[in-house]
This record gives sequence, C-alpha cells and structure tokens, in this order.
Amino acid sequence: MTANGIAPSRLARQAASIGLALIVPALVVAAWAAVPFFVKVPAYKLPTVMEIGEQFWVLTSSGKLGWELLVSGSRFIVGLLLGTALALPLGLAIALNRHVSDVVRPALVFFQAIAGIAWVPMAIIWFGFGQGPVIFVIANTVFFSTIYNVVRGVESIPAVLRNAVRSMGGTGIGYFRELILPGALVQIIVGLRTSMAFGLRALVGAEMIAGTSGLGFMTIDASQSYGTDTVIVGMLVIAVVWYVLDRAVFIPLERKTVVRWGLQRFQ
Amino acid sequence: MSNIRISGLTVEYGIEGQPRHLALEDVSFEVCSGEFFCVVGASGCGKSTLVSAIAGFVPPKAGRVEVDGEAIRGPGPDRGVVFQEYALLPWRTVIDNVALGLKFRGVGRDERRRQAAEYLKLTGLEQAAEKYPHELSGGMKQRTAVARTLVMSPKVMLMDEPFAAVDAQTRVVLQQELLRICAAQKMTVLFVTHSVEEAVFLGDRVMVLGRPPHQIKDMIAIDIPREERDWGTIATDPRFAVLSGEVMNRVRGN
Repeated sequence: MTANGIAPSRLARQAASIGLALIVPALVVAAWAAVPFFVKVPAYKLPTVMEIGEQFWVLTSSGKLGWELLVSGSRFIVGLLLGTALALPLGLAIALNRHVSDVVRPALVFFQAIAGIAWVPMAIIWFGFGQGPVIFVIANTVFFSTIYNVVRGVESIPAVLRNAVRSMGGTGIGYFRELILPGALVQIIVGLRTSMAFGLRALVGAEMIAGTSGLGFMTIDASQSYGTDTVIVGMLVIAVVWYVLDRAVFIPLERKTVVRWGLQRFQ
Repeated sequence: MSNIRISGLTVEYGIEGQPRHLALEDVSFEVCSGEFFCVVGASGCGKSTLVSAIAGFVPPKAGRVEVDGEAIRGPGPDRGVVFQEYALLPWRTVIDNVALGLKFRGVGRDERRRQAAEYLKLTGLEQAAEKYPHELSGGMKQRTAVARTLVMSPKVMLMDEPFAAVDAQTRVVLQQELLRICAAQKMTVLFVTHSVEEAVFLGDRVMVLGRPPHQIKDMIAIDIPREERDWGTIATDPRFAVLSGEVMNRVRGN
C-alpha cells in the first residue's frame, strides 16, 4: 500500500533516486544560466544554455552528431576487442607459466608507464592521420589495463580452490576452463569499468590529435573557429555515452556475474 | 576394502634460504575399511599437513601413502577432500558444484545433474540446488562440499577441520548427519579436528597427534556403538566422559 506513504513502492524509490541524481546537473545548469546576469561573458567563451540546446538540435537534425558518434563508437569497440583479445592469452600465459612471467613482466611494467596516449606520435608516424592511430591507441590502452587484470585474476584464485578442483579430478583443459578462466574473468569484469574509462579517454584524446573524424575531432575542429557550442555539445555527448555504458552494460553485466557470485558488493 | 596405509611419512615445508619446518616426521598408521578415523591435536602439530599429504597436495620427503594398496601420486578423485574453507566455486550453483567432479569424469549433463540431485537430497539441500554458494549459510556450504565429495564415490573421504567455521548449533547437527551419511555409504573417513569432543563423538578410533619427534601420542578406540552417538544422550554417557578425559590428557600432556 503506497497510497498512505508507509511503504514506498519500487517505482517511487526509482523516481526518488532519479530526482536525487538530477540535483547536481540542475544546480550546474541554473548557475550557468545565471552567469550573464552577474558578469558580461562573450558568447564564444560561454554560450547560453539555450544556444547549446539549439546547436544540439542543429547537429542532430543534420545527422552530423549521429555520424561522429557512430565513427567514434565503432573505433572504440574495435580497439576494445583488439586490446582484450591480445591481453587475454598473454595475461594467462604470464599467470600460468613462470618462464613467460620472468621474461615478459619486466617489459610490461616498463611499457605500462607509456601506455595509451603517449603512443599517439608514433601511431601517427606508422598509420598516418585518421582512424588507424586512434584504434591503435585505444587497443594499446585497453591491453595494458586488461592484462594486469587477467594476471591478478588468476593469481588471486585461492590455493584451496585449486586443490579442491584438482582433487575432484580437474586437470588440463578442465582445470583451465572451470577454474583459471572464470577466476581471470572475475577480475576482468571488476576491472572492465576502469579499462573502458581509460579506453574512452584514449579515444577522445587520440581523435583530437590524430583523428580526421569522430567526437574528439569534432570538438577540437570546432574550437579552431570558436564553435564553443559544438565543443560543449561534444563533451556532453561523451559524458552521456559513458553514463549509458555504465547503466546499460556494466551494471547488468556485474549483476549477472560477480554480484550473483557474491564476489563484489553491488553499488 | 578401502584402507589408508601411512608408513614413515615425513613432510617438510620451507622457503628457499630459510630453515625448513618439519611438519611430519616418520609417521606410520593405518585406517581400516569403513572406519571413521579421527586425528586430534593442537594447532601446529601437523594434522592439516597429514591431510594435504594423503590428498597429494604436498609431496612427502620420505615415506609412503597407500590407498587400497596403491601408492598415491598427486591429487585424485579417489580421495575426496572436505576443507574448512568449503572451497566451492563461487561462479557455479550448488548443483553444478556438486556435479563438477562428474563433469571432469566425462559424465553427460543430464546424468550428472541427476546424480548430483540425489546427493543433494542425501545432504538435505534439495531446496538450495540453484543457489550460488555465497547465498548459503556456513552449514549449507559444508553440506554442499560433502555432497560434492560423496558423489564421486571416493575410496576415502579426507576432512580437514570441516566444522571449525560453523556455529555451535549447526555443528552438532552436521556431526550427527555426517555419521548417518557415512554409515549409509560405508565410507572410510579420515577426519582432522582440534576438538577433543568432536573427535570422540565421531571417531571409531582417535589418534592423538603432537609435534615431532614421536608424533603419534596415542591411538584410542571409542567403543560406543554408532547408533548411540547422539548429542541428546551422549553428553551424560559416562563412557563418553571417560574417553574424552583420556584423549584430552593425551592432547595436553606431551
């Protein structure tokens, strides 16, 4: 019975949580809208909220925003898959074999410091401007973030679990599939949010420096001609993309895996 | 037929460059077929190492471990192990945890789930089949671990302080049920505990283990019939009091 307000329904709770989440954005927009009443700011430095809305409509209706989003999104997915596909086998090899670990680990630590965006100059030299360097930098970023998670995932499998599986007759492929792979997966999923956050930043940064299209390129290109409204629309869209990824991908994925397995508290 | 024969077993632990720790030194004993054999001792006496050595997790420095007259080589499903930490796979449901060993053995999906369900019934877990381990109480986790071991029809079941982490009320229930199930399955059990009462309640024989050298302090037969092992009555049974006192003395007085 929600009518008397004793037990709020699920819907009421959801509405309340959405309301709470909107407080900060509302305050920011209000403060922003209030700025022209206090100080005189030229439009190219800080457009009004209305101008942003209009520019958003222009970019959307012309199809430009959708196109740039599609370009950036597909690069992000390709880079993510590439980085993960390389990190998984190498990470497993490091975690499972001491010789591989002895050889590869020091190099990994060395290159970790210059992972991601630091590769943009080399990527431009190798691939030229365009999507080549962008994908390379995303893959590079995701690779270093994920490989660390794979190694840590396998190494954090408790010894007692290893013993239990072996005494049930788990050897070779069975041992790998039932214990090692899920153990690594736990840490990959737990670390996926960080990996993807790094990947998204790499995408935007690389597009700004080396891109010829995409959301990052759109904002840096607009800034050349003081298209401040386009810059802000681009930034907001990137933030919204991240928010949607978090709600639509990570949280359901975590709920189906690590949360269900009791390996991470639901947040 | 099942029996465990330990002869001259010596196990050392150590990290390179540090003095090695002698956990077991020249230990010899036998466990009879169908026997419930308890090992009791203070912490650090090497009783968990004994389980690890029989399970095949640690190689002995000297001596032999034989099960059914065959020397063991590494871990294997002929020796089921129940751990204090439960050691269930968190990403598998209860029934899939129980069925996992059968999967390793190559049993088909339907057949292994059918067999697993049978053992879940035996251990009173039918309702929990589709739950994940983290949703279970400590007692239910350990029931799952026992079901997972029994489903493999091992020659022996090795239990390393399995009830040390569950609450006292649950422990009493689990002890009684364990006796019932092991009697029904005619299972040979080697059960390690630090609790004298637990050892005397469960064991057909109790071996008192101390630190090296001469680790086997005593071997005491518990001549209370299994059907009289009930916490409701045994606590006031003079035989239980006398035997517990005897074992306690041997555990304390080195």
